[in-house]
Amino acid sequence: MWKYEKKLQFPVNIRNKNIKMAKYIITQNGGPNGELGATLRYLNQRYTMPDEYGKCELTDIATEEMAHMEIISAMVYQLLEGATTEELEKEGMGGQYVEHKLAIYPQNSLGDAFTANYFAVTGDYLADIAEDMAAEEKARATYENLMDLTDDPDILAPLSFLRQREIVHYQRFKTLYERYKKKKK
Amino acid sequence: MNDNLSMNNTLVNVKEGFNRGNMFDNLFLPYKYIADINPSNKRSNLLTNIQMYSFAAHEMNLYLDLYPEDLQAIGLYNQYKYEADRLTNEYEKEYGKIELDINDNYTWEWVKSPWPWERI
Repeated sequence: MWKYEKKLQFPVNIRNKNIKMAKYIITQNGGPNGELGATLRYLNQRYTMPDEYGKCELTDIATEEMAHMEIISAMVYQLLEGATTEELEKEGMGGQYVEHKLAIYPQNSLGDAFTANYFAVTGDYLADIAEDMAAEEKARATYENLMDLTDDPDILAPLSFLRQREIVHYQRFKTLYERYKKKKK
Repeated sequence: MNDNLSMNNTLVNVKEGFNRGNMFDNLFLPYKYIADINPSNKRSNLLTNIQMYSFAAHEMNLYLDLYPEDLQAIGLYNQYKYEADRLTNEYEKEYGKIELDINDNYTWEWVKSPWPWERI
């Protein structure tokens, strides 16, 4: 089971509305390298890990990814707050208004809805942990792409925090991978 | 690779680790920007301190999942967690619930705004 805490892992206080960045950043909620996919990938893979280290690490990182999805959603919520239909249309978000108004929906920056096809659960622990390492690197790259598109420190701060988390998670998975590789020989 | 024990890692202080998103100096890889969180009022300052110590404890948690015999890391986890809990109690007395717990007031505290995605 899970327990909710009524706080973000990292503060989100965005002062200026920015519809364009909202449209891009939502991909880290529901896009191919996003936090929802990360959560579901690790949560579903953990059952067939070969030892307690893998079960524990995947559980705890999956839980953190949920908190990251919440940070991304808080960012998009604040970036869109008060946006008019005219402003949304101007930034190519007329479709967002039709389908969701200003609500949060798991999709990528092009508007494609989230799909479980973004991740694999093979039942092979080496293959799964190797995918997890790649997933962390792809998420890191996506955060860098997002950081390239803004100079607003209110947006950069949480993006830079989230990007750095991918680096730490990658290291934890790498340690697991190296141990499991030895095990399999 | 020495994969057996002992952090062999240099930790940064709680505030810097939080701004970086990484308590481990040897794993830190910056890109373009590092946060410098400066809360604008008493309430968000207290909340930020809770987030900082919770984060530091969480970093030890993820590390200890792989190195459960590392007593130094266990000590740090306990220290960070203790401080996060102490600050959480202080915050909850003044501003409302962060964690669902015994409700000793005449109204249900948990339901009250702000929710985490709302600015304070």
